[in-house]
Amino acid sequence: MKFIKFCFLVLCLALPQFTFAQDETNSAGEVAENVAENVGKTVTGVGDNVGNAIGRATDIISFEKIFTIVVVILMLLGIIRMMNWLFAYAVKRFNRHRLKILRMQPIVNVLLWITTIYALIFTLFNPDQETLYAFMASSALALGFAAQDILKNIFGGLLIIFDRPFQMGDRINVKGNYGEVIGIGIRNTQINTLDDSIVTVPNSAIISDSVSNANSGALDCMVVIDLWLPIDVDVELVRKIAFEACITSRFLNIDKSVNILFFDHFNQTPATNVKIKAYVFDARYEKAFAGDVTEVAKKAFQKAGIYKKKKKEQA
Amino acid sequence: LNILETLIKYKDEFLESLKLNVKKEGHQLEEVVEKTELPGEYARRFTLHPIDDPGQVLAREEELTTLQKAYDNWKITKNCLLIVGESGSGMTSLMNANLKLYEDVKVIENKDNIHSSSKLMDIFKDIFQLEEVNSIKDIPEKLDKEVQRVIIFENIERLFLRKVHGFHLLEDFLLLMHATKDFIYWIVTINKFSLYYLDQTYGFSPNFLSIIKLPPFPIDYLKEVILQRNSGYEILYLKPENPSTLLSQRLKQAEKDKKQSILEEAFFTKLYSFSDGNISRSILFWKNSVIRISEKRVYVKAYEPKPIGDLSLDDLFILEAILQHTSLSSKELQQVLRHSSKGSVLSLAS
Repeated sequence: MKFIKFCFLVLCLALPQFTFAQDETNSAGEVAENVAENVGKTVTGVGDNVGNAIGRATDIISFEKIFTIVVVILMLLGIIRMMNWLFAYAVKRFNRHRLKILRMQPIVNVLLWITTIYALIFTLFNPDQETLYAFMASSALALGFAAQDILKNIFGGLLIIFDRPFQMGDRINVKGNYGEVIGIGIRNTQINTLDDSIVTVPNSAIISDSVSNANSGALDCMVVIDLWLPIDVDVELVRKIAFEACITSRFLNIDKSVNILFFDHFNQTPATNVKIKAYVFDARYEKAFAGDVTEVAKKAFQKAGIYKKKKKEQA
Repeated sequence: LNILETLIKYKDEFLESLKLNVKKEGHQLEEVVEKTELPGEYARRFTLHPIDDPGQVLAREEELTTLQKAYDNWKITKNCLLIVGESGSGMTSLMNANLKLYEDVKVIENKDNIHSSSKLMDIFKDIFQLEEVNSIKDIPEKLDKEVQRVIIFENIERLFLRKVHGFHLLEDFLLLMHATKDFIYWIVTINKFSLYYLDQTYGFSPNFLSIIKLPPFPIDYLKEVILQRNSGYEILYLKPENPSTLLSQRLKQAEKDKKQSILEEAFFTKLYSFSDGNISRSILFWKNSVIRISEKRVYVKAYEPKPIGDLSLDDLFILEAILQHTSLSSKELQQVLRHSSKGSVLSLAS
């Protein structure tokens, strides 16, 4: 080993001496020719390399391909818009099956995107297996660092679509936002709250938090209406009024039962809490139903003198 | 613009092929009005009224036998009878045919809604020949329990209104019925939509152990009734406005004398699908199908009902309320839908 190192050292020291001695013997014209030849070769080589690189790059990313991608994506967006319009039309036309139709919408959209991207990659670039693995590995690494949150949301979206903790049209409560699910996207979910605001919740937040679902894919949902009355009410009369206020509401789903429950409260002022549990025929009219029943029951209680009793006692 | 127009055309054609595109026609009430003014004598043949002659009540033999059995059962078990059917399905005609079964029978026909205890009291006072009664609860005590009688109470849905405190008359009636069923055989009739509502909310049916549900009339019976009312006239069936491909093919292949029988068959199939076995709706269909009458010859072309189009939720609520009560005045509708009086009038007008 030592011997090899020694030989290498001697060679390095001798080489410049040898070159210098040779240069002395050559004429100046030959030197110039050699230099020009070397420069020419280098320039040609660089030119060839640049040409090859551009050629290969234009093979991979040509104007035609870019134009094709743009056209295909525009067509895809058009198809998605048309599908959304068809879904909206079907929902309007077959309102009874609204939720079944709506739950197909995100799945169709995701499948359309996946199919288009797959078709574009394999028809335009036709990558071999090694390139594909290398691309996937490098993009995974890059995306893993750069777009962690986006990836979380995308995987969250896929989980929501296939695991289905809720579907389009369901009434859910997530992170204190209660409303109807109007869109399940790849990155986020949109909820239309009761005050008609659209809240966009990232999918990663949804899968990492608890979600309560009021109707779980059914068109109707249970509504609990709280009424507060004096502690000494005539329970029989109140039950009758509350029951009739409920069964006469146009929003009631008459195919399901109505329950009236009574609870006493003694926190600050003694009071009777009347809980009406009934089903609204369409979850969209949940608050309209609650408001309707409360208003009618209140009017009937007033007419029956239920509130007056308390006032008299206070006087 | 041309591209846009072409796209819209393709969209319409596509929807047409899917049968999704419902053209918004037929919203105007005027379109439902008869096209031809029928001659007085002919129109009178098709007036809608219950049949008084038991001999004319056909296709209800099974129901008449069940009525007889129910009466025999009441003599032992004291169960009241409930008859369920659609409006215009011949409930009153069946009751009229049934009258001869009973010795002492009284009929309470409720053509209007009853919402006050005093009005109901007046009806019972009149039926039972009572004078000094203060409330419905007192009636059983005033009646002679030794006298057995039959009371037919028609359209019991007239006793309730879908509002808070709108069911008390129905409850009073049921209490009276149970208190007197040992010596009064109560036969109650109800509209099937009202019964569905009352069953789901109040559990109405269990008050009756005998229930007869009137089935729809068969097509042959409806045809017989229509043809009977046309006796003396020659009927000429015309090709419908939009014949099916099958019908067109059959007509092309048929000989001249067979064409009328094919058209007749197609006409009554359409009539049956429109009326769903309801006699009143069948008669309405016929009246709307007659396009000309001349010299004892009636020209008939199957009536093409116009699509109603998309109904708003408010319209559906109004329809539901009317079906549940058989009929409602504007004021009653206002109470049922909890509208203001102006809102109710405007809803009906629109």
